[in-house]
Amino acid sequence: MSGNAAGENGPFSAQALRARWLKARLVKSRRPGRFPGLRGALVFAVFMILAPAAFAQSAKTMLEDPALATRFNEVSDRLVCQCGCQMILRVCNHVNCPSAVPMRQSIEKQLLAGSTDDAIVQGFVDEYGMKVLSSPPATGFNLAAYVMPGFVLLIGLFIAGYVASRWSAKRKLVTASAAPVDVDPDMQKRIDDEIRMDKS
Amino acid sequence: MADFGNFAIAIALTFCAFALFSLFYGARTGRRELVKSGERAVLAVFAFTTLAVVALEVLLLRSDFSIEYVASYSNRDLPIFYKMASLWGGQRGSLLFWSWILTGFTALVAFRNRQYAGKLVPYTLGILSITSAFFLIMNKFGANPFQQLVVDHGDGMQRVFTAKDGNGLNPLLQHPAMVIHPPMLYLGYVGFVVPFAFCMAALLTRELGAGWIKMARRWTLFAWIFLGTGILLGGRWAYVELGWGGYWAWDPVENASLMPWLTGTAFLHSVIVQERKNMLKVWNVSLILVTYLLAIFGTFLTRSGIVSSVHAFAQSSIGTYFLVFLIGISAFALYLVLTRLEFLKSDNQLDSYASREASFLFNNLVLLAACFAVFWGTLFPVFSELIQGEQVTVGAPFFNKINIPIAMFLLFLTGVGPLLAWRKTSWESMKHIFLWPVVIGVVTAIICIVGGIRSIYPVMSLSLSAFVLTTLVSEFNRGTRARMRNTGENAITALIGLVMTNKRRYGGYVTHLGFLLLIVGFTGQAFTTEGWGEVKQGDTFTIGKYDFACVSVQDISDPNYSGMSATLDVSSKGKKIARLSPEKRFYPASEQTTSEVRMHHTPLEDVYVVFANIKEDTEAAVIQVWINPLVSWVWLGGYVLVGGTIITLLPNRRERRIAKQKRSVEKLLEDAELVSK
Repeated sequence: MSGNAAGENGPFSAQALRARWLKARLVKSRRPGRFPGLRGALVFAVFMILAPAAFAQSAKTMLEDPALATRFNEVSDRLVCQCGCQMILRVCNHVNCPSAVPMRQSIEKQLLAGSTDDAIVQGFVDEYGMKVLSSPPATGFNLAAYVMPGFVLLIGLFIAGYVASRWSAKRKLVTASAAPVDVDPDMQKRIDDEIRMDKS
Repeated sequence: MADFGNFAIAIALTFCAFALFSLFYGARTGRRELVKSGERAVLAVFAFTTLAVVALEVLLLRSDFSIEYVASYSNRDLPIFYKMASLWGGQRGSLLFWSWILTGFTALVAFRNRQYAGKLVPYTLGILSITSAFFLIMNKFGANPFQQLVVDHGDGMQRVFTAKDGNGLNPLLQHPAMVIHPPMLYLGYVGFVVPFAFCMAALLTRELGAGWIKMARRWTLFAWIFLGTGILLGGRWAYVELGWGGYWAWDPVENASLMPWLTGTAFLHSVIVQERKNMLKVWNVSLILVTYLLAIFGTFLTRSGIVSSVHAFAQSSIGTYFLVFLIGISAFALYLVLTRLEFLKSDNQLDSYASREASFLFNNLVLLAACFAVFWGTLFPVFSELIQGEQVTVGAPFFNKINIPIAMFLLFLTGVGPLLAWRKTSWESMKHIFLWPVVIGVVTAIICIVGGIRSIYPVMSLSLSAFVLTTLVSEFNRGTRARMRNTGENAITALIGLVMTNKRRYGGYVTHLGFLLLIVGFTGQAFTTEGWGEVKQGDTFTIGKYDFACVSVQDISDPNYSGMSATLDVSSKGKKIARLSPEKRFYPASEQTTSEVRMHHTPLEDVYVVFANIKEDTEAAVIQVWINPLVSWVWLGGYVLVGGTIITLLPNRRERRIAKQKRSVEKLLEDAELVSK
């Protein structure tokens, strides 16, 4: 079952919120108003157009089949909302999001129609490009994204190892006492020193 | 008032230029009166920047919508608290706020060292003034918050006009944590400028002894704790306000704050090696420089828009200012380090890999690897666009994949490092120290696996946490017992005495305990349960072990917003545990709708409830629920981390006594000199 359909009469429906917004504007207009002229009208027009979609946002998925719901989560974890918020599609919860809602609806429809996860993801890549993926694919230049941190760590380890071996060559072999006693002699000495210094 | 603010910035900039000249020239030529006047100029810069900040606050409080910044980030119905916080709600205001904190820190350095007669402090103040001048120039010319609102009526002529109301502060920012979070972050970012200034001054004057490192360490600790607190508050805000069930999304802005914090952490560890063993001098200087550059880079990253697209960079004028400054200062710092190498010679010598100094070396390596992974992942979209011509997204899955193993290694070192002896720890000694921690770590791993945890990282994280906790407890235990034996004190007095006589060491251990709690909290994310229910009055649904009963769904209103609220009774095993009322709000000023999350906290898990929507065909409220285990441990870890750092920052009685004696001797010598004259 898909749960994204926009109804007509809900208390949180587009009409209800639009009415609440208009009421708010009416109250405000008794005081000095907002930006006058074209900008205000444009904002209002855009809001009127977007409102029905904006408030019809799903709570992620409403697929009732647990297997499909799990697959929905997996697919939407691989994608990023395209409104600019950069959030993973599954977790994007912007109420006014014109991107996440239709994308999630599309995933639900394709899952119900029997599409594979990879095919659904590929469909989004074809539509939006690689930026729709939450992580770049580990191929071509993008492989560098995954390899570089490990490579830099290895280089660092190599340099640290080389430097440490050079420093070791200068070492003076003084072995710390290692008797397995109740309290380390080193620690006992340090604590004694601290207490003595504190008292002095 | 806008003219007054503009004028204040201009005067501050003039004083800053004078301070730069008089401090550098005075210190170089030994003209003490010029240095003194430079120090006074630094105080004047702070005073005039304060006036500029006050001017902007007055404009915000008076709702003066003839000013573009005020019209963009405030509105008449905005509560006064948030009107004041609008100072850092937008780019221009936050950059002025940056300048204000920086000039304040500069004044503080000048005031605290007013008796200092050498070259190090004047040069430090000079370097601080360079950064102040950069930000003040940006406040004046690049991102002026006092710019007037203008409109183009279609005839190509731009005319000044006053809006009747403003756009309002983004509703998501209207949260107490968001009011405190940015100042904390800025205190952290800006705080890192001070150790950098001490470091550069030490390089310039070639006074690379113990003096600068001591001052740099304290300031780094100060900046580190503010940045850390800012990051945690940001996480808390995201968790409470954004309503997506989590607190960290690896967003570029979050990453920008994490990077200098990681390098700052590396410095705070490696500086101990320099103080104790006179090692790693070049390394410590480099860490300070990198931390400073990352702090500036973080501001650049969040303010230039470069990560969203390389093309957005060109649209933001301040991006160029930052880039030029970053390149210039990096080149100058590199030149200074390379030309002062002979003064940075260390007694580098390593007796064994099983030593404290070796563990610090690995700790630094791992922290820098983590920092590089974050840096690389954050900027990879930019590189990809430049090289492939195609944007890619590097999101949370990438960062988790790379950074979780690094965090595990760091956790392991947190347990091992502090217990190793300086120079060398023998095998026998290691067996004695680590036997029980290893046994408890292995037992924890077995319990986790038997308990049904099959993922590798949660098992590793919990078993390593048990290992580290045991090492910390045993360290406190052994120290307390040693002290009890010596003084005859009872256990609690001995424990307090132990911490108070070596605040730096045991404060550090408490900080490690905080880090450990954070990791345990992060691990909880692996066990999150998520679900939803559609309810009308009287309906129920179940998520995990919790039952949710809808008591009512009603309208809500406020001068600033209107919306709906659902009241739910939450029960477990038939016993009511909480009543939660999540809200959906609509803010007319900014035309935005937000979710107001409601939570029930327990030490083991949070019940996180969001009013997601109204299903219009059935008119039922759609309630999204997350059961988030161990999130409270993250916040608790934060408190412990801050507490530990405060302990390390507390003044040391012994050091204070020595400093007092030193001052007395200096005064006697001065008096003797006067008498002989």
